[in-house]
Amino acid sequence: MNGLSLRILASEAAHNSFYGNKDELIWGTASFLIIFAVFVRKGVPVVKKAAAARSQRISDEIANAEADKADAEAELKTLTSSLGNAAADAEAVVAEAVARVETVKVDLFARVEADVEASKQRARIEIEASKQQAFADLQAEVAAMTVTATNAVVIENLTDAVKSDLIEQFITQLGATR
Amino acid sequence: MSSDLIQSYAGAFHAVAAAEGMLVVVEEELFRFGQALEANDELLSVLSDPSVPVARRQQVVEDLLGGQASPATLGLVSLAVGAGHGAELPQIVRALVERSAASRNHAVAEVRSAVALTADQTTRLAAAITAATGKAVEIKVVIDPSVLGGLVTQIGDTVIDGSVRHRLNQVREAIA
Repeated sequence: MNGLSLRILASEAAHNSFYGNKDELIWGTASFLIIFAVFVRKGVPVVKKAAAARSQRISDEIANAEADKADAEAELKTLTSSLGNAAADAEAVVAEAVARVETVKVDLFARVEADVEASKQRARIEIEASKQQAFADLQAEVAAMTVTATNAVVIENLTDAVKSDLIEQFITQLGATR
Repeated sequence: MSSDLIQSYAGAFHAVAAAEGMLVVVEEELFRFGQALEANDELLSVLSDPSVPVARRQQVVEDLLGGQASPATLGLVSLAVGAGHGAELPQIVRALVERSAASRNHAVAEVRSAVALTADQTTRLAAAITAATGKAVEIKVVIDPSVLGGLVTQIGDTVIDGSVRHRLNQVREAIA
C-alpha cells in the first residue's frame, strides 16, 4: 500500500464512519492492485534475479574457497612430503659424513701408528749406531792412549845401549835365518 | 829423466871416479849427499829449480860440499846440477852405487838405523844378510831417527824390517 492510497483512505475516513466514500475505496483498491500487480510482474523477477545472482556469487565464492582450500591442502601435503624427504636426505648425509669421519679416523690412526713405529725404529737404529760409534770412539781413544803410552815408554827406554842391543839382536836373528 | 839417462849419468860418474882412483870415496860421498837431498825437500827444490840461475845452484853445491867432499865428488854434483838434473841426483847416485857394487859382484843392502853401526856390526850384518839371502852385499847405512831402534834392511825389492817403529806400528794396528 503506497502513500497515496493511505492519504485517500484517510480523507474518506473523515467523511465515512467506517469505509468512507465507496468509490474511493474501489479506486483505491484498484490502484493498489494495479500497483501491486506491476510490482509483482516487474519487481519480483528483478529481486529474484538479484537474489539468484547473489546466491550464485556466494556459491562460486564457496567453490573457489573450496578449490583454494584443496590447493592449499595439496601444497601442504607436498611441502610436508618434501620436508620428510629433506629430513631423510639430511639423515643420509649425516650418516655418510659419520661413516666418512670414521674411515678417516681409522686411516689417521693407522697412519699415526705407522709413523710412530717408523720413528721408534729410526730411533732404535740411531741409538744403536750412536752406541756403536761411541764404543768405536772409546776403543780408538783407548788404543791411541795405549799406543801413545807405549811409544813414550819404549822411546824413553831406548838408550844407546838398548839400540845397540837391538841391532845385535837383528844381526843375530838374520844370521840364524837360512 | 828417463832410466837410460840416469844409467848414463851413473856410468859417467862411475867412470870418472874410477879414473880418479877414488871410486870408493866418491861413491860414499855421493851416497851421503844423495841421502841428504832425499831428506831435504827444500834443498832438492833449489838445486832443481830452473828459475834459479845455474851459477847460483852450483854455488849452493860448492857451499855445501866445499871442504867436506873430494873435488871429484864436488865436480860431479856440480855437473849434474848445472845440466839441470839436480832433482835426479838421488836416483843417479843410487844407480851409481848399484853399478859399483855389481862391478864387484855384490848387491847393495841399504840399512836404516837410528844410530851409526860400528865397523864390526856392519861386517857381521853383511855376513848375516849374505847368509839369509844368498847374495854377497855391500852395506850402505842411512841414519834415520824415525826408525827409533833396530834396523830396516832393503836389498832390491826385499825389505827386512826389524825396527822398533815397525813393532810399534804392529802394536797400534793390533789395538785399533
